Amino acid sequence: MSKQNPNDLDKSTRRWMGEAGLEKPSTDFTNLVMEQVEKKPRLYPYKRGGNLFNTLLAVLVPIAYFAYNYMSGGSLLPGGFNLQTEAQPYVRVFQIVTEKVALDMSTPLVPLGIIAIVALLAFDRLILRSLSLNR
Amino acid sequence: MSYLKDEHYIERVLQGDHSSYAMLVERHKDMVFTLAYRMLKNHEEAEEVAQDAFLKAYSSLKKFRKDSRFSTWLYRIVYNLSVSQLRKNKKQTQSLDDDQRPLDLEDTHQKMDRLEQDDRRKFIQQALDSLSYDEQTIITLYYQDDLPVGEIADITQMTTSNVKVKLHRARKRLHAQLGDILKQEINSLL
Repeated sequence: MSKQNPNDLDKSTRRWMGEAGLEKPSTDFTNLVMEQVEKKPRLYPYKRGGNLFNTLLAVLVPIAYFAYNYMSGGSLLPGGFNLQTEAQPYVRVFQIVTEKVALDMSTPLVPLGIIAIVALLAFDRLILRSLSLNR
Repeated sequence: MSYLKDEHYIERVLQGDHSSYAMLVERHKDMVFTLAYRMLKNHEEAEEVAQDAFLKAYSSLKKFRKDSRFSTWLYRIVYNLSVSQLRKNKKQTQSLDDDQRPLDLEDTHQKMDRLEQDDRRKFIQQALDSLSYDEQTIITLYYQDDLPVGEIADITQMTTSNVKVKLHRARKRLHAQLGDILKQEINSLL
């Protein structure tokens, strides 16, 4: 007798397909594929894009600098470049950082911290190490 | 160990770590090989096509657009390579006519339940072999990878209604064949 309820057909097909399972390729399948993959050139799409971007930057930034210099009333040629004036902001930042470090060093916590580290190192080298060697 | 998505390994391969591709091969090799094997019905050819599919996917990984799953894209490559191989071999590539025989699912179930697991597997494989290559592909993807009909249509480049028709036909043919095989088996024992 014909019993072709679509749901029953679907259920029993799922069961039979589950029982059939998947076929297995040879045990060295992955190695065989990877051997051939290693012969192929590696894929570096991001690096290629990055190189193009860096090259563009290297060309455009100096042009933009001299164009800005010229438009602000300066000279277009590097002859108008004044090292003392250009370096001033960087020298100022260096001075601020140095002053800040010197100020921090003047508080008692920093020398105390340094003394503690030296003491720990001395304890490790002189006492702990000799104990572990004697064991 | 946590389960990392395919996209994680794809990103790593694209950044130059090609050893991450081994994870993708390991994860998908059984399904890829099963698809090729069911279409070609030959172990060596299926293994070759499965390897070619992974290599082709590796070479084209940059072109992989993440609007579909990696597995769907990979299965499409396997399907196309297998179809090309079938054409080379000049094997039957057309669907057979619809099977109009009445089915008795209950009877088939009862007979199958009496068999050992290995025998059941063998008979199901035999019944599967009687399906056309596209029916095998559809039934395998639908039931063994739980792919929706839309994705199967994308892989096989058929319309969704065509996939549905072939899926229904494949189910009926599988059961009819299984019934015939079991009948023959019982007759040979008597």
